[in-house]
This record gives sequence, C-alpha cells and structure tokens, in this order.
Amino acid sequence: MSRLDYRSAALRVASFGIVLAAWEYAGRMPVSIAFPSLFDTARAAAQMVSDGSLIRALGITIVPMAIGVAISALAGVLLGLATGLSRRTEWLGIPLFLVLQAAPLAALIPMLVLAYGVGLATKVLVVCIMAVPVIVLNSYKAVRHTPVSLLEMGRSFLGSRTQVIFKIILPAASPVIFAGLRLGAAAGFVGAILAELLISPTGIGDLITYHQSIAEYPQMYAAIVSVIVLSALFLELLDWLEFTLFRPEGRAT
Amino acid sequence: MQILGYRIPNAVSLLLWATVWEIVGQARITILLPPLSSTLVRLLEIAPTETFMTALGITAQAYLLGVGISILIGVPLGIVMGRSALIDRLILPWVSLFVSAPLTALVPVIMVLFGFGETTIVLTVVLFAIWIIILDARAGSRGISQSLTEMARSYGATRWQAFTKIYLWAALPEILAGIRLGLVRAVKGVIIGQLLVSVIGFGYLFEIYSSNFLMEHMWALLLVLFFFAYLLDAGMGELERRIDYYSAARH
Amino acid sequence: MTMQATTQNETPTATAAAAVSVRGVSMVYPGPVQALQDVDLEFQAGKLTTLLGPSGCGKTTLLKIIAGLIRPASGTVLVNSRPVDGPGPERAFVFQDFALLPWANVIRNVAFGLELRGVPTAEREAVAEQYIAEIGLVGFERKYPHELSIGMRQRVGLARALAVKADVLLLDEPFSAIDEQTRRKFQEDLLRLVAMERRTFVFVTHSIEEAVYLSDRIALLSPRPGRVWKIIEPRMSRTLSPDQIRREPGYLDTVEAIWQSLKDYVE
Repeated sequence: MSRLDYRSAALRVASFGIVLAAWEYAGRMPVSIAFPSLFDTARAAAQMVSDGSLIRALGITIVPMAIGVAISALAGVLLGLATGLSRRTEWLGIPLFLVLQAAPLAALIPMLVLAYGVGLATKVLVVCIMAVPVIVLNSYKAVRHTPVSLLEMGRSFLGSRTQVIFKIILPAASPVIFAGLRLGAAAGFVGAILAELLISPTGIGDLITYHQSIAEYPQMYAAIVSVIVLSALFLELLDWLEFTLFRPEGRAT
Repeated sequence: MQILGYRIPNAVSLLLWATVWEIVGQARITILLPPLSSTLVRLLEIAPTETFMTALGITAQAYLLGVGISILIGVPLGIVMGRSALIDRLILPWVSLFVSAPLTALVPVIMVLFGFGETTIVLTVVLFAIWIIILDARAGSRGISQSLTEMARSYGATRWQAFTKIYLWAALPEILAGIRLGLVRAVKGVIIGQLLVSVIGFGYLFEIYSSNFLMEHMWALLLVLFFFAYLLDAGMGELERRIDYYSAARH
Repeated sequence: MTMQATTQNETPTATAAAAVSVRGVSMVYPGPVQALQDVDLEFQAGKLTTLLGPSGCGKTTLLKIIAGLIRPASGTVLVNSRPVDGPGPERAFVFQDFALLPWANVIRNVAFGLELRGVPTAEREAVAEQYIAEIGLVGFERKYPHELSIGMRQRVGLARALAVKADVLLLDEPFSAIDEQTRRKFQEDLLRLVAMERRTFVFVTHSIEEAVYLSDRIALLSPRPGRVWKIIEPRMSRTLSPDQIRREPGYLDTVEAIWQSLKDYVE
C-alpha cells in the first residue's frame, strides 16, 4: 500500500475509534439511564448471538426483505425499461411513480398490517411498496440517458431492437439501475422494520420493542446495531453483484 | 405523449389513475380502498376540524424545525467536507453508512432518550434528512472547479467572500438537489416518527383511524400528506430549474 | 502536384465506378433549418473522398444520410447502385466520439459488429484479432477502453468498422479529438490502410490540411444551406515521404487556396 493508502486507512480507523470511544464515554457518564455503554452493548450482543435469539430474529426479518427486494428489482427494472423505451408507457407510468416516490408510503403500513396481519406475504408486500417506485424511476432515468452515440452505433451495425436493449441499453444503464436498487433495498428495510416495530411480535423489530419495554437497554441497542450492520452487509452484497455481473471494467467509467 | 398529433400533458395521466381509483373503489374490491370520491368528501369534512388542524400544526412545526436544523448543519458540514480531506475522511464513513441505513431502527433509541414528545419527532426528521443533504452539499463542494478557486485567490478574495460569492453558488445545484431529496426524506421521517410515537400529530390520528378501520379517514389523511410531499418536491424542482442554466456550464 | 477544381454539381468524368451516388439530397431540421439542399455527389470506389467545410455546412448530416442513420427530406442515395434505406452491411461507420462499449474489452468491441450479426464467438474473435493486428494494438485485446489512450480508442473504432468487411467506410471527424502529434501519425496510417484495403472511404473533417493530405477528392461544402460548392482533386504524389508531402509547394498552395475560398463562411 502506498503512503496515501496507509494514511487513508489510519483515518478510517481513527474515525471509528473516536465515535466508539465517545459512545463508551457517554454510556459511562451516563448521558442517560437509557444510554448503555459500548461494552455493555457488545456484551449483550454476544449473549444474544450465543443464545440464538439474535440470529433467529434477523432471519425472520431478512427473509421477506430478500424476497421483496428480488421481486421489486425484477418488476421495477422491467417497468423502468418499459417507461424508458416507450413514450406512451412513460406518460402512463412516470407521473404516478413520481407522486408515489415523494409520498410517505410508510403511512400505508399500519393499514396493511391491520388488514392482513404480519405474515410473510404482508411483509413482502410492504417491502415491494416501499422499494418499487425508486427502482422504477432510477431505471427509467438510466434508460433515457443511454448515450445517443452508442445507440447510433448499434443501429449502424444493424443491431435488432432486442440486441440493442440487452447489449447496449441495459449494460449502459446498470450503474444507475443499481443505485436505484440500493435505494430500494434501503427503503424495503425501513418498511420491514417499521411493520415489525409498529404492530406485531416478530423479527428484529420485536426484539427491539421487547427489550425496550422491559428497559433492557444494552440488548435493545444490540438489536438495533445488528440490523444496521445487516443492512450495510446487504448493500455491500448488491455492490458486489453489480461489479461481477455487469461491469467487469470496474466502477469507474 | 401524443394522440392524433395533440400533446397530452402528464397531469392527465394522474387524472386517469384517479379515475381508476374511483372505479376500483366503487367496485369494493377491497375494504382497504374506498372510492376516491368518498375520500375527498371525508377530507373536506375533517379538514376544518380542530383535531385535524392541531395535528397539522404539530406535524408542520416539527417538520419545518427538523428541516431547518438539517439544512443549517448539513449544508455547511457538507461544504467543509468537500474542501478538507481530513474532515472528509473522518466523517464520510458515517454519513455513507447512515444515508442508506434503515433509520427507522434508530427511532426507538431517540424515543427512549428523549421521550414521547415533539423533540423526538424533530430529531427523527433531522435523522432522516440530514445525511443526503450533507452528501450532496459535499458533492457540490468537491465539484467546484480548481480554476474558480485559483481565480478567487488571484483576485484577493477573503475566505468569507470566496465562500459567499463563489463557492456557495458554484455548489448550489447539488446543494438544492440534496435539499430536495432531504425534504422528501423528512416527510417520511416525520410520518414514521409520529407513527412510532403515535400520541401526537398525524401519528395520533393514524392510530385512531386505523384501529377503528376508518378507511376513508385514513385515505383522506394520506391524500393530504401525499399532496404536500408532491408539492414540496415539485416546488424544489422548480427552484432547481431556475438555476439550471448555469449548472452544466460549470465545467 | 496539380490541383483540379470543378464547380458545383459538375462531376468530372469518373475514371473509377461510383460506389456511392448522392442524388438531389436535401435535409431540413425543425426550425426550419435547411441543413442540406440538393446535393449531388459521386464517391469513387476504392478512393478516399473528403467532405470539408466549416461547422454548420451539413457534412456530418450528409455522412449520416449515406450511412442510413438519418432519412433525407428528399433525394436518394445509391450504394453499389442500390438505393439506401437505413443502415446496411455494405457500409460501416466510425464515430467521432468512438462509441465504444465501456464495459467490453478491446476484442469484444472490435468484434461487436459481427456479434450483432450472430457470427459465432470463435470465428468473430479470429477476425477481430486480425484487424487488431492491422491497426497495431496487438497485446491490448483484453484491455478496457478506459485503460486506453484516446488515440488507441479511435483505432478500436476503426478496427470494428473494418472487421465487418463493408465496402464503404464512413468516418465522422475521426481524428478531431486526438492531439496534433498522434494525429499526424494516424493520417499516415490511414493512407496506408486506404491503399491496402481497396475499399471506398468517405471522410468528414473541418481541417483543410488533413483533407488535402488524405484525399483523392475533396468536396467543399458551404453552410446555410449546405451545398456542394466546389470539388477539388489534389493530385498528390504518393511517392514522396509524408513529411516531404507536407512541405511541397503544391500542397501548401492547395491548402491556402481552399482557405481563401472558405474564409467568407467562417463566422
């Protein structure tokens, strides 16, 4: 590693170190009775992992997440393609999705959960509702912004419509599409967790509210940190997928 | 889109969907979706009531306060991050983490620390809005071309002058884009915050309506929210368009 | 070296058969902007003809009409005596901004025209390798466009056009993004290619020197509306070395004469 890389890595470590140290200090002070120290939280996390409750809860949360994101990705990219390629579909779809994207769709969640319960299907539905609009809009934007000279080049070499879509438009659009997938996945996570926090005793949301209700704050914080770590890992996975599947030349274009 | 050579504006598309809503609602396909017409009637009914107005006031207040704080802290921080590599390296990992983290999970923390009142809501709004505002302000600040900086120095501008007369404007397109996204996220934040806190503002109303299955009331409320969110977004878009004329020519 | 000039719409008796014929082509853009008006031109087979003129004279528009990428408002284009209706396998286009697929390596980019035709992988890669060698990029087959210099990228675009074995090659200001030093080398390479490949080349540029150096024939276009205004045949002796050619009085006189003619049209 060059000197610059060392410096950069050192600063990263310093950044984490400072925040974690501040957490530990604030916890010991204590800032509030409800603010456990870093060590207490870590200990609680270790305990919850070992007794299986954390993993089980995360599992319950992540299954509808993954399914929902997969469905949303497929539906969202297809819709984005359709609206990007056809003016008619664009006119029909984009105004609607623009409204949906700005809207706080989270407000629909209590309604859905009350009507259909907190089963797997409802959670998948919630994830899809939260994720699809942003995926559609990003995919649409990506398709519309395909460089004109690449399209002309495809035409000049007699590419058929299908060939141009799969060999030129989709690969060219993939960075923005994946940016949309990341945003969609993040929104989906919010939906899944919100459903759990609001209503019913399942998954990680349940773990959080349960420990909150019996004032076991280290456990509560541990659960929260775990879900944040989980979401970060999930997004890393998406990044890796994009890199290996679509852009072998690396992210910089 | 064109039919027979006449351009049909996008707004008509929304009217089309509104009609679909009406038809689906009238057909009573699901209890969850009442017809648009009865929702609108209900909206006119509840809007002038005191309960609604109070809830609206609380929500709007928390929203504006939260957004204000996010902008006042987020924009300068982002700009500083764009210009100082040290600060950037220290703070960026956290901003990147939180901009796509499920912030909903952090709301219980805020609730536990700050109680069930307006403070929590305001902090939730800040939590949701600030990261994207920081990131985009940073992007705008980083994008300021080298030659502008050198020009400022060569003409002897003071730090403050350079900031207010050049850097702020040069980064403004990105800053506005970030604020626009922040405003939308802030709406989600204020709603989610209130849903979880559920004893004040719109969250309280949602709680009442949903537990009593007052679907028309719920949708009336949702319509109001959706409409305001859309207005905000469109308004910011208009603002962005105003300065669009120079944003492409900056490089 | 002699310079032969003929005036608008008079084509000299062709000594070689015309590979491309442009008859009465006009193009109007919304505005209305008359990009081209009643253009008649013949492009001799096996030769390099240049469309030269200041910006706005419609030379790229004309090139794209010949390529079939733009449909003219009126008139016809014949290639090998057959009318043009859209792009075709007998014509290949080289783009000003290269239009390479950023996510594909060199060999895939060069083979792309063949890939679109359904040529099997082994076969098309073999053809691609042949042309990669011809343009001098052996060893770079697995590199990606962002790893190549600007000059190399344009060579990939050229190889791609050559690989589909089209009769007519259309080059849209291919060297305009390249620095002066590399550009000279490319011009020399292109001359060698024209002699070797024996295909018809149609070249668009706004550089007078480039046109005089490269072309068997130059069509001067004037702007607003785009019209063929003069046809010049710089009879360059190809026996001289490239550097000698550039210092030949005849070459310099031709360049100066063209410049004087075009001066009025430059804003």
